[in-house]
Amino acid sequence: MIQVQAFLPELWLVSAAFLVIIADLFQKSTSSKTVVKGIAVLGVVGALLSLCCISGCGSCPISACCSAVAGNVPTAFGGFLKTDALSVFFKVIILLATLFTLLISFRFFKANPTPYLTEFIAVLLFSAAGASALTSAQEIITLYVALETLTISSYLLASFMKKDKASNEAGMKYLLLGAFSSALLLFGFSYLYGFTGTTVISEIGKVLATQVASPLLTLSVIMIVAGLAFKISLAPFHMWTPDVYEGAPTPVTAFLSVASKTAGFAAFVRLFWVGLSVPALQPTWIALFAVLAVISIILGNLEALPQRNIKRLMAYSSIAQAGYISTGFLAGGQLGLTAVLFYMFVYLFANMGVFLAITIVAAKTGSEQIEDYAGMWKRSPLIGIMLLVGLLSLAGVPPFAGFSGKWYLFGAAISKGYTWIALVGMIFSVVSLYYYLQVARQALISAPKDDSPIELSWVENAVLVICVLFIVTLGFWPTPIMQIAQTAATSLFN
Amino acid sequence: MIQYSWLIPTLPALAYVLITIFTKRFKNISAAISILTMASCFALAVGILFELLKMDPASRSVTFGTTWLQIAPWQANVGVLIDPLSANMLLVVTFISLLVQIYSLGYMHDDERFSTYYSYLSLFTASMLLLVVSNNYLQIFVGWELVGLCSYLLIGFWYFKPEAANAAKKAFVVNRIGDMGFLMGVVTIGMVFQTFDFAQVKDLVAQGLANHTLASGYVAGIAILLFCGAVGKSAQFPLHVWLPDAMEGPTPVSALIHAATMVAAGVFMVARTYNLFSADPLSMTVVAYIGGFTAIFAASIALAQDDIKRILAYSTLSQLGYMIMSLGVGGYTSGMFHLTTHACFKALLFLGSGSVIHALHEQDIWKMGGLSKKMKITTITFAIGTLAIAGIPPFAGFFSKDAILDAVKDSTIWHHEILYYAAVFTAFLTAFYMFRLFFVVFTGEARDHHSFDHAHESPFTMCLPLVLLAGLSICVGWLNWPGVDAYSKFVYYGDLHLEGGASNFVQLLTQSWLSIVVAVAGITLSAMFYYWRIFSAEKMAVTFRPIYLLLKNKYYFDEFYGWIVKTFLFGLATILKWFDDEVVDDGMVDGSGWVARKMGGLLSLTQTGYVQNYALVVFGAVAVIFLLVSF
Repeated sequence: MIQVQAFLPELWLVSAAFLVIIADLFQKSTSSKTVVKGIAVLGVVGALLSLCCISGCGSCPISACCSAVAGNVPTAFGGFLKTDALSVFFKVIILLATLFTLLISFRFFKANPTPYLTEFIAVLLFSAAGASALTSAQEIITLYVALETLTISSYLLASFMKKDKASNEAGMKYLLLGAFSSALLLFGFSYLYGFTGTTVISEIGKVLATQVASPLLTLSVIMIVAGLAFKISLAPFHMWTPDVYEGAPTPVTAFLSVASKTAGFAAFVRLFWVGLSVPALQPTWIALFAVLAVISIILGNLEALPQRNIKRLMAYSSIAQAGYISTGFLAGGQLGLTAVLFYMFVYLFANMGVFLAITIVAAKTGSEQIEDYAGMWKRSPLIGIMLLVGLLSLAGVPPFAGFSGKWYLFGAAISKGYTWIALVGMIFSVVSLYYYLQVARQALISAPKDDSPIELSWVENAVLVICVLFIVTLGFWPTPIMQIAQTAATSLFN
Repeated sequence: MIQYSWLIPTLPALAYVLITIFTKRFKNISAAISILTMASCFALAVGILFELLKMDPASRSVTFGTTWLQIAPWQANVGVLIDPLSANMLLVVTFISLLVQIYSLGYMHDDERFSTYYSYLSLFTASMLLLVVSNNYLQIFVGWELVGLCSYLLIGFWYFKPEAANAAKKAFVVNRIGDMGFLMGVVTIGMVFQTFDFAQVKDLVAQGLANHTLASGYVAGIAILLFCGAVGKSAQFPLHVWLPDAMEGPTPVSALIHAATMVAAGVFMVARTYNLFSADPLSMTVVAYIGGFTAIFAASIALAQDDIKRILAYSTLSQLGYMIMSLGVGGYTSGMFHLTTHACFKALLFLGSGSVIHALHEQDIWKMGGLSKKMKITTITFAIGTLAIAGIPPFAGFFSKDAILDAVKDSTIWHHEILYYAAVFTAFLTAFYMFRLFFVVFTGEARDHHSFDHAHESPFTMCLPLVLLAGLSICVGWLNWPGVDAYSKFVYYGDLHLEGGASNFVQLLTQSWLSIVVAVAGITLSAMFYYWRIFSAEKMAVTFRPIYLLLKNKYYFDEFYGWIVKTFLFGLATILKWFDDEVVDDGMVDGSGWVARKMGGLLSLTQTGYVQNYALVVFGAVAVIFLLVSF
């Protein structure tokens, strides 16, 4: 039986994407395309609201009118798509990230006009649909197809500024290395199928539970890790990240750093903690992740130190962040996965807020150099506060949410005996303070070279305020989101 | 009504946010927000009181809350605990705060930072109320620290005056010493009991003591750690030095924070965690003797002070000592009762002194005099406050102070007779120095004619709180009118127990003849010196010059602490500074920073920009990992 609730958000996104393309036919190419933008935003908001139907909270009016399936998990296509609480949580992050990306892109393309705004929005929505579908995939082919929907669209997005050399280069590099890692992933999947004779993740787990380790099976796991680690830019599969993040249009960088990464972690969580969580393999891949996490934390943080371009800095920061999140992931269990989910949620607001600030500044000054952030506090207090709060949260300074997030991540790692990883994480969090504060120092303390104020639209004001409020509130009071994350993490083990 | 009790700390906190963000520029709106929220809090507190009164005396305790942080195995909650103790405090804090805020309308009228002042008052009250309603040790600590912060902000409100800035720093630092002990106590509780909840800890302690898995000495240790916090906040000896200096803040603040509410937080905390204190005689003895000593010690200093606010500050110390001592000897009800009556008459005295200062712009009592001719309302209300604190029946102070004396007399604590005589002597001193203040300021001839000629009665907003408080300073004590004992039947610990046991007023008077006699003696002696001038205070000061100097200089405690800090702390600091500059900073910090940056630079070189290199790394990594795992 196909329950449409299982892929309702994707339906919203894809429909919005098609509607956007059709609506564009009725708008002048020189107009500001308000209708197109409106449809896109409505599509994402609709997708977000449709999650209510899935989680069937019952109390909200929307879930009542779409015949809620409270209590049971909606499935479709013979169980290949299954939207449990875990995927709902991931979907919320991905959809919110898409919404933020849309808002960022509106500002970005106002400053860098393009006749192809509609196409950009449509491709972004397709990409988001891929990411969203990925989180419910229960089967490796479905997972792969969803992943490719996400990444192939991302290649297009990264190279979207046709006349910009850096953007072209970014898109090309992303395509080549992405194809390479996709091949690795698919190769790994094919071995996995060969060993188990099934593509359903839970079945794979059952079959593998009785098998002993063999070099080929290990190779398959390593290739899967390599293929997916590329998506979340975990070292040493991170090499593309700085070049692509720097070259790609800023909204795309923001999307890659949050939505794409979240989707990657969603795939990791389901594949490894359901399919490959077997005695023959688990010690191997946990050790592997431990090494990758530590390398990412060290490399990401150290290489961020000499950076002068803020987008490149954020690229290295995102590598380090992937390392932090991986510590929670490898600790696993309810504790570790809850920490991962919570941290991703916090990371969403910190990163998206900072990228919105970067876009607004770049639109005004045309620069992405950190030294041009001098005196940003005086030019726009809200941007100054956003940079300070967002970056300190990423660094994990109390009382911001990043601190509680890291607390839970490292706490989970320590409770499973990986104290040394947590220790590396803590030490390099201190290192990270240097480059995060470098930006904050420019923005808050240095004298502005040019003190013309930066105007923000009311939406941008509101979004920045929301980001700051979330980061601060979740720092003081993480419990509500923690409880939701706990439910989501528990649903994986049912 | 009780289900809305969480609003009581929330509303003033919101007022603080509103004033800080939006209404800084609009003085009247800021004050209106602050006063209206406080009035609603007071209304809520009254509602809560009546709801509690309707309930069965045995079950007058309601608690609810939510999880704040979950850090296994600990869980930090935010919650509300409403019982007679917190209802009593809620009423006192909201009422005094309301009156002080109304009074400040007149007193702070010309201040440039009027809105900021009201925002701080709101934040202070919010923190105090957060502390009062708390149902766990962690939350009480958070409120405790916030109260300390607000105290710092308000003492240093006129930060451009160096004395105010220094006094604020001093208050903060001295409080930190006590808070350190408090924090250690809270952490110990968390480690031992795995919970911070008052009720759970109480049960666990009772269980542990019953089946001998917990030594009572251990509980006493925790209690004494907590008591360090109370010593700091309630300015007990030896951490008393900050309170007199805190008088640099605006006078309404002195009335609110440094007389009626914040300094009572220590007393409240001891009462709130009374099960820990009463577990072992050791902790009770420490509490009783610290309190008793502070009472007589501070009263003796007050004899020789010249600043109107400082005299009141030392009397506050002394009265707080009474309360602490009362708790220490087991007089839970009498301690809390004295807290309540003292809040009324001490707020009255401070606001009255504020009225005087407002009129004369002068704080030295020897430059005042004869003010009764100019300021009728202030004089009468101040007289009522003075009679109340001196313990003259039927004013409020008489009932509560006498209950404390009874509690000390009946206690079984180690040599309680010492404490009893000290307390009685303190009552004598109190009557003496308070009437010295009254006679010098309000009677006789004006000493400074210039300022006297400009003196005038204060505006209505300032007189109204004085009159209300004066009424209360007469009546509040009647709550425990012998035979009625309404207060004792409401706030008590363990089993209901009535101090003294007098059944009517005459019996009470005959029972407490000693305290009345010493109070009257104090007043008479004071009048001989400063009203009738039969004796000359100046001659006395010359005759007993060493004692006079000792008292005047507050037993040289400030100098002593200053010497300790300069010699030991600064000496240690110099050595550490050298170590920090030479070894830590130049070697470790700069060194590690240099290494990290160089490493970053070198590692960045791997980022060649060539796709083929990147692909090689990916492929190489897979190959290396496979080889490592396989062999």
